[in-house]
Amino acid sequence: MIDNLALGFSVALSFEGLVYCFLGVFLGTVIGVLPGLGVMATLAILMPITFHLDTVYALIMLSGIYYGAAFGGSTASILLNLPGTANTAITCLDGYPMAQQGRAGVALFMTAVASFTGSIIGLLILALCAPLLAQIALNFGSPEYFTLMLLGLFAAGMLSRGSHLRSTASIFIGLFFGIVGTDISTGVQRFTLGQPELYAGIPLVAISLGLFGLPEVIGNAGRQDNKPVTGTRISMRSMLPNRVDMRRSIWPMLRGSGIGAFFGALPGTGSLIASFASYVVEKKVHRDPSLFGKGAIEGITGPESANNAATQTAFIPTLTLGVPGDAIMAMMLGVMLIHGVAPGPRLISEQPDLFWGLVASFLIGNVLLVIFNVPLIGLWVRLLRIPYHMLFPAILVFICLGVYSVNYATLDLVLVICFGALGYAMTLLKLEPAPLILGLVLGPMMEDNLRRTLMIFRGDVWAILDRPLSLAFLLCTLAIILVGLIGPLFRKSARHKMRPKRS
Amino acid sequence: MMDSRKKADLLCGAAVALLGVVALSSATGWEVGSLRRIGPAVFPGLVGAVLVGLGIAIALVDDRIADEEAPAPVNLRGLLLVVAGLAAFTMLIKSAGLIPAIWAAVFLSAYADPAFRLRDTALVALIMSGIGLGLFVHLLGFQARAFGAY
Repeated sequence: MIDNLALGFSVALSFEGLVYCFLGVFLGTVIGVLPGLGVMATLAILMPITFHLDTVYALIMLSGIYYGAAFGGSTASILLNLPGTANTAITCLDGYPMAQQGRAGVALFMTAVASFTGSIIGLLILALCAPLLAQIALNFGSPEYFTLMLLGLFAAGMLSRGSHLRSTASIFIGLFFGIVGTDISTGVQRFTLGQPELYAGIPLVAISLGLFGLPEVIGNAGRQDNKPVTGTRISMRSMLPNRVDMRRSIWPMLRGSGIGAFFGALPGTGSLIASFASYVVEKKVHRDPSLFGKGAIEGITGPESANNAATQTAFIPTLTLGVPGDAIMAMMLGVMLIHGVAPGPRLISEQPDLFWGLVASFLIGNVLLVIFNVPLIGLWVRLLRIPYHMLFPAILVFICLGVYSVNYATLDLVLVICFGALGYAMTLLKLEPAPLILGLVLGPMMEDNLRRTLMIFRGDVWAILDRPLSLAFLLCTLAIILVGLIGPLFRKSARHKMRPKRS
Repeated sequence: MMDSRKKADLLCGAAVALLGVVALSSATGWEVGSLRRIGPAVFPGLVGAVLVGLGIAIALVDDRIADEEAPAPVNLRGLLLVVAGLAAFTMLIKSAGLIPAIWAAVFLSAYADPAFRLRDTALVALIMSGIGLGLFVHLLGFQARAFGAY
């Protein structure tokens, strides 16, 4: 353990390690603070640039963006009642009222404390659990992987908020696009339309820029600039919480971290669900739930801890099993695959510098984030005044340069437009585009494992039931599908009962 | 009478099922192989079958949570001009060079904002030209000439 940590810090504390960690969390804070700029789009835009870096530094920077955005997302929630990222929507509920009561500084300070607490607890769990899980997963064969990926896909679809059927459909649309390219065992071209550029499959950069980058640019075109934050020169003194604030926050932060760590590691659920769950729990256990929504400090510290703990533990299934839990982790996995790293149980033992380097850099990154979010908070408050009309053409140019730089193929630029159109059509049909990426990345791996499974079993499909773990994964998948299908019916009858009361 | 929500469900279900049919019908053109050695048709066939099933389920079962967010207003001007900017970059990068491609993309997309400001837009184009030449071409070895075909 000590050796591993030493190795990790030797990577993370190297000059490049520090520079890319700084860049990552800096950019993460920028997009976290600014409403209208999302994590998925930023990762997609920066992905091509990271192809020039070493794998470790690429992942250090991209992860920094991810957890940096989770950390900084609460600033706009508190000051403007606009979530900087979707995960911090819940922080508006009590953060903005606190700001209106003149306690914006305290709210900002306490969310920083809560975010840091959540991150560190999540990080500890990541460092302790990932190696253990990897040990267990070393015994996994193709049947286990295939059934585990199946479980991951259906969990991501069925545990999502909103329509389960639509999320699952989006994942399977991703599986469909994952088929495009050359079949690895027979060399048959599938859906390549005679374009040599598609023989290796649809480029992840083009599809994610089309689905997430382009809509972001369009959404920010003609966007009103944020209204100035009135009467707040956030001084260090105004940020200091009193003892009551601290005491009231300790348990919510610990509970939130636990909730976040749990939901983050689970496939399909993530920081959004974790922060909502934490808010609901805090409201339930509080002796006076009516305080919530009027500036209760528990309503920001609990969810913020959960949000940040979840972003750390989300790395567990991706780094140990190679099975991402959500779309952002699927993108990280895609980047690793492009760099020639196959994430799986052997990653930690065979490339300890990568895993422990990431863990160490998460720690450094979180310390940097505290510095960014407490003493330097004034900087970000000013950043909220950014002119959006100058921002979105610049982002468009970054998208163009980035996608073209991967292969120097104009077809990739055309693909961005095509997938932009697909994403637009999906949005009109109320299909969320994000889960698509999960299917796209997992699809080829699933097909490969399915083929190998049947080869091992000599064509006997039912032999999969003789493998206890596979059987367990399959049963879990079935249970999730059943709950997902029956759940809405219950909800509906409950809604019908509720209705007369409300009206 | 059909309410708009039901209609949206039907449309969405039909689109998802149609994609499944595309996968299934293409799969018939590929080798199935044997269970011991599955061919390239099997996985697309399975995905297609599930898509058809999901499409039917979406059309029939209403599992959406009530009062979800209202449909976002369509920013048609933004959509068209941003895509036009991207298309212009695509056409110019190989034939005319990096600087014309960047300026075309910036100016076309900037018109997406009804309050177009010439000075600000020129500034953005200038900065992005600098980043394009300095960071991408010079540091990252981006293959393009500032002006002229590469």
